[in-house]
Amino acid sequence: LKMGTPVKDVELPKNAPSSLLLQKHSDYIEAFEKNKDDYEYCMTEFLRVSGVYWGLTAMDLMGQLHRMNKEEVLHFVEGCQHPCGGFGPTHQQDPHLLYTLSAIQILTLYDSLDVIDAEQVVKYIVSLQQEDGSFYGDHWGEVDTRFSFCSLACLALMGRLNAINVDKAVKFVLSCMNFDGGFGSVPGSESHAGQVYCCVGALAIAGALYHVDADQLGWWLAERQLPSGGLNGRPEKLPDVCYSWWVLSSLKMIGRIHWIDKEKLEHFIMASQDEETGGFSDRPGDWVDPFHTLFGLGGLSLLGNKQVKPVNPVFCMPQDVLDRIGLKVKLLDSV
Amino acid sequence: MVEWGGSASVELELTEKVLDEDAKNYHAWQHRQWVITTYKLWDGELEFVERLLQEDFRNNSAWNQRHFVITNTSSYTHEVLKNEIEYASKYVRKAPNNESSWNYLRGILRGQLLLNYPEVEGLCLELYAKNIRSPFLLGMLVEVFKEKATEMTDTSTRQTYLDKATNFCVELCKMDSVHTGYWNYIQRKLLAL
Repeated sequence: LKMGTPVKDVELPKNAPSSLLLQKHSDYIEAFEKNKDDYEYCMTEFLRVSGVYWGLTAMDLMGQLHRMNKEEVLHFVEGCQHPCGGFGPTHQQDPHLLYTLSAIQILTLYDSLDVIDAEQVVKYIVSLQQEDGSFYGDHWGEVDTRFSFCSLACLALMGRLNAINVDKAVKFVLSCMNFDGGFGSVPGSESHAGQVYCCVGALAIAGALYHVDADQLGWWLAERQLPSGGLNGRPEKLPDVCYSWWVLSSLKMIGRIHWIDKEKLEHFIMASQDEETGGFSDRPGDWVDPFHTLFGLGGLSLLGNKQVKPVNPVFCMPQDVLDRIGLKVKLLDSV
Repeated sequence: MVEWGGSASVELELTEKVLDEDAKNYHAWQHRQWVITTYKLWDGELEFVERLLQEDFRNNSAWNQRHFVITNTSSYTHEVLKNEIEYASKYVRKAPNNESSWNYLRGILRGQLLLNYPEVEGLCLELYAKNIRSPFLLGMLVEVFKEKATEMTDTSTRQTYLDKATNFCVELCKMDSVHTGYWNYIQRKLLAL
């Protein structure tokens, strides 16, 4: 049988972890946030508030949020807000939509939106929407569908979606749909699973999922699964645990999560845990970080693992948090 | 204007340098698209894409760029489409299990009647006869026979075509077991026709 040329992939090590090391992961995250002199902690200062969101959400999914210092976090997040309303990644760093979303997610997690100027956040986001419906990431003017997602998600969490022009926002996102059914960062850009998540998430929030060709996109997403069981972000790339989130949540939103071989993917995610340090890495044997830890846990949750709380596929937050604030986003029916 | 033209070609060269080192660099491709669109530097871009595909025809970014150029220049007229089918077929023959060339072929045929492009069916049957069993090939064969069935008024010929399509689905469930969820769905859709 002639199948053609070999596929770019990794091989899972034979002695890789196969069960979920919850205790190790929660110890890892707790220590990460506490060790403020740690090299990696210092090196990730440029995205600190996002790092905090990843750590807290991972802890909450494991039912361990109480081990984190709520007061310290709230004080930190407060200090990230600028007079314009946007949030920087840490104190005295310029505001950006990416960090604004992380801040709002943290505050929602802690039911503490009232500690910041929410109205000003809305004004900040509105000021970034352009004529064609796209969003600048900040006043320097980079456009990317990630920023469309950040804007819509932020506003939805605050119950202020209609502050922006939703129709135009949808129109711009749809202009980034490609010939293969996927989405890129701007019109013409290559389909990429991370961008697909942002676009599908934005469309879901806007109630516009019906525009998606779910069969074509679902197949493109299913094709991300490699023989190792892991998922990549676009053709001919290596698998990475974070795509267990971007790809899987996208499939969930369009009702086609069963197009992935769940067992094989779970196997890959489990193998990407570090038995010694705790945490997940991008693939087996690599160094761990909170980013991959959150998305590994999120992926497992979507796969139905009962040791982790149910996660919401649109917002990447525990479902019970969204239930608490009464935020419902309709997904496409499962086929 | 010369100055602008000068800096534009510098920008283009810069992206080329980055892509020489890392042919799939997402930001380089995005910037390159911006430069080409803004300064209308479409000439020679298809040749650039061809060079990259000759180096590595599995480069999905290059295939995306090809679609970007044609969409913004000649667009996919009937003649262009026939050309592009032949172009993609060349690479499909080289590596029948490579998803990028198939995705491109499938993508440009969206909304088209395969009936109008019989070379597609020809390509698929040719590869199948050579005992090639890539999921992309069989997936395309399902589409070919599904369309033939829907275009048929004669019920027994229609059923023959539907059976052929269904058999490919069954074969796919076995050989591409990671995607059984998808192939089962495709099969169900056929039965609902």
